[in-house]
Amino acid sequence: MTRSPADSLELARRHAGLSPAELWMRTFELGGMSTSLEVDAYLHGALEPTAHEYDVLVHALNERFVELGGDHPVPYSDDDVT
Amino acid sequence: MITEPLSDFGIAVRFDEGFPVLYVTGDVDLCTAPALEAVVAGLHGSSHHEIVLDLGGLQFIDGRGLSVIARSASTLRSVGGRLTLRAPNALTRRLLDLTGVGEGLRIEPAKPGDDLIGAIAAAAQIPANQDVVRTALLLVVALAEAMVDGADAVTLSLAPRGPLDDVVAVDPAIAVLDQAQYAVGEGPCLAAAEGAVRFHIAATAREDRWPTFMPLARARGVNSMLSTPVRGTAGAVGALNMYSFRDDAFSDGDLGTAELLARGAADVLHRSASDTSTAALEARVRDAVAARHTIALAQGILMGRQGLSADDAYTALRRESERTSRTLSDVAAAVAASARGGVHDDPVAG
Repeated sequence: MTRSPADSLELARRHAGLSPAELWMRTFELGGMSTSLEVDAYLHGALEPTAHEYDVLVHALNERFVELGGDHPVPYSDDDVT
Repeated sequence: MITEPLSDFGIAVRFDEGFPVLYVTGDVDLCTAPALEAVVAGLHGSSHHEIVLDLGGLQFIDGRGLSVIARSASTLRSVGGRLTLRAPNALTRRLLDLTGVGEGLRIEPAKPGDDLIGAIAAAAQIPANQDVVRTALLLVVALAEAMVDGADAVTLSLAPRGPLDDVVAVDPAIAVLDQAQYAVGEGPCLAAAEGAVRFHIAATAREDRWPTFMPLARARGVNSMLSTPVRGTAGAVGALNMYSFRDDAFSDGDLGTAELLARGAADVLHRSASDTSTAALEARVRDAVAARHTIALAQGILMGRQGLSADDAYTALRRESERTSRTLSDVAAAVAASARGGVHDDPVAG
């Protein structure tokens, strides 16, 4: 089943145990430029982030998964590019 | 791959004057929305074209769930029917408005107090400090005292991460009764929180459970009590406690209102999510700004050394972070340190 990027982000967020605002704070710490409302909108598929903002979000999630003992399970926007 | 649903999702179908009402509980998301759509489609296929979705028990809905609502409404409209949404909470209502899915839909008002509870919960959205959360919980307590005729006093006893040890109360004199339960290790609010079940004591004079606490309650003139668990995602996190100076003070309606208010308190706690104090939050923001500065500095260094664009420089930092399982902030700090030390070999390849 093909999942939209927003669905993937939202599922990852919930499995990482991050609230939307905590996710926003982590993207802010990583240099992200999106507001908390924009991050919320990305997670609901109501707004599409730029590739850069998407990757910042994904990296915030992946750093959280590393904290939890995992690797980087969420793919970045350029992961298919060799 | 993440595939399994993460919440207690349920649909109960009842018929109200011949019209089907779907009571939706839990989360409607990527995993559970197809089930909701299938139930609506099944009813439509059985010639039920007027369908009510009761969202009073809905905890969360995502874009997939909103799409199901939009498609179902459109299908029913096309055959002269209608989809009605009942009792969406304030945040769901906001999503319906923001996405336009709510346009043209009949939305029945929630039970009295629901919108207020939703507004209180929305006001406690993170990032928030504990003062804001506590104020929101005090509003829930005050609302309970106003809405429940049988209640002479209301408290909220909380234990977000451990044993009950925090009491929110408008009247500190009645908070003593919650604290007495903590002290003696027994009582209905402790039992409600531990067992995640409601305890209704119609008359304390006839109650033989909690033999140490009940005399304390009677000595303070409390003749009936109602303790309703405040349910978090992993069990009860406390209890909403109502005290009355009369016997048999709480009606069946009061029991339902208490459940609604306990859910509101749970929403406040869930949405606040962080127990960061004001000082800790300020420190975190300060650290975040410093981290952003270091990352921007590292980007600039890589842009200068390797002729990269700002986004490509960030990507280089991110890939190094991924490759070495160091945080991006640590990678950026290493790049910045290499510049200060006059090292010309980049710790990050472009």
